[in-house]
Amino acid sequence: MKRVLWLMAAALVVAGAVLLWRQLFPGPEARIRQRMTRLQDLASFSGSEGNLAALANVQRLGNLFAEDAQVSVDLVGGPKGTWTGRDNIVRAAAAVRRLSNAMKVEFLDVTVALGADGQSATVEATVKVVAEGSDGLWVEDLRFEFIETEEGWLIRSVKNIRTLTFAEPGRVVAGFDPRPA
Amino acid sequence: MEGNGDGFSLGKLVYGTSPRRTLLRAAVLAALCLIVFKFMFVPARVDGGSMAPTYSNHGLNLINRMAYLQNKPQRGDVVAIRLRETGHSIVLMKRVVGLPGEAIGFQNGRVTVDGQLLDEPYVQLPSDWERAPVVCGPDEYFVVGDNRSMLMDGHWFGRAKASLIAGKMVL
Repeated sequence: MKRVLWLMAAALVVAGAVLLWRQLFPGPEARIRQRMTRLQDLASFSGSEGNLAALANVQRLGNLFAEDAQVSVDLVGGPKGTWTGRDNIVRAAAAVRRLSNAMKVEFLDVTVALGADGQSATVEATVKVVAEGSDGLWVEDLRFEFIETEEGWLIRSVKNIRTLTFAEPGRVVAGFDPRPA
Repeated sequence: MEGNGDGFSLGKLVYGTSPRRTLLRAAVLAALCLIVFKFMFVPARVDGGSMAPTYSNHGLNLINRMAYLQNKPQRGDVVAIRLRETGHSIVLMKRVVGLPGEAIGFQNGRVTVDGQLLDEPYVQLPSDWERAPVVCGPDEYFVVGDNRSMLMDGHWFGRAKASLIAGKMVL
């Protein structure tokens, strides 16, 4: 009985040590996941957020992107466009904050695939956004490309993935003559 | 456990005459619920009005994940579509209007299949959608919501890979 207790205690100590090691020295995937969580937190904002805090958070959000990062989105019922460079992304993020009083951003089903070079990674996630004043939620699938730099893992590009497609890459039937609306 | 003068025992009421057997029953019931609601009939909450008026916003439904193990989706089925292969938290709820190999378009809000207007009694809201037909691939289904009074740009519709169809809506 005493030996069993000793074994259980030893297993607990080993498990605790492993957890502590992972917290102190996270691997690339864990660090990228931490970045995604940070991005989710900084992209969310509440109505009580002051102007200075909002400005600081937008700047912090920008620091998660590489200098030459590119965000290219074509969202269903939402904005379409490409923003290149950290400064433009920060400006776009600031503009989003002016559209709503509060917004909750959540990344779901996050998958991380490390590149063969160990210096890059592809992350896919479903973003769920609930904005104050709008009925229902807004979802989109996003693909992030990460790159490891001296500043840590930074986002190099963001694109949305279209689950349902209409014309591309399918073939449009020729000779269609739509009736006037 | 405490009892009263009539022999009533709260302990017996809660645990039954054989607590061990009650515990076993509870465990079996929990395991069954887990299997049924995780792998067979997955609960889903409707969010958004793209399937109106057939399904109302914030309504509850179940996804029958077994529906397409033997059979393939049929025209008219309301299905749950995953956003991507590894996505499971959020699904799109749409109606199948086009099968593999068919050319699907829109004329005045109505679906055309290989140039013929589709009879759609479930579409009750006015619509003016116009879109040239596209041909579904061999493993693709064309899906769209019942509410085409929405702006076309704000409505998820199009060709979905068969592998993304997670199941059929039960209700």
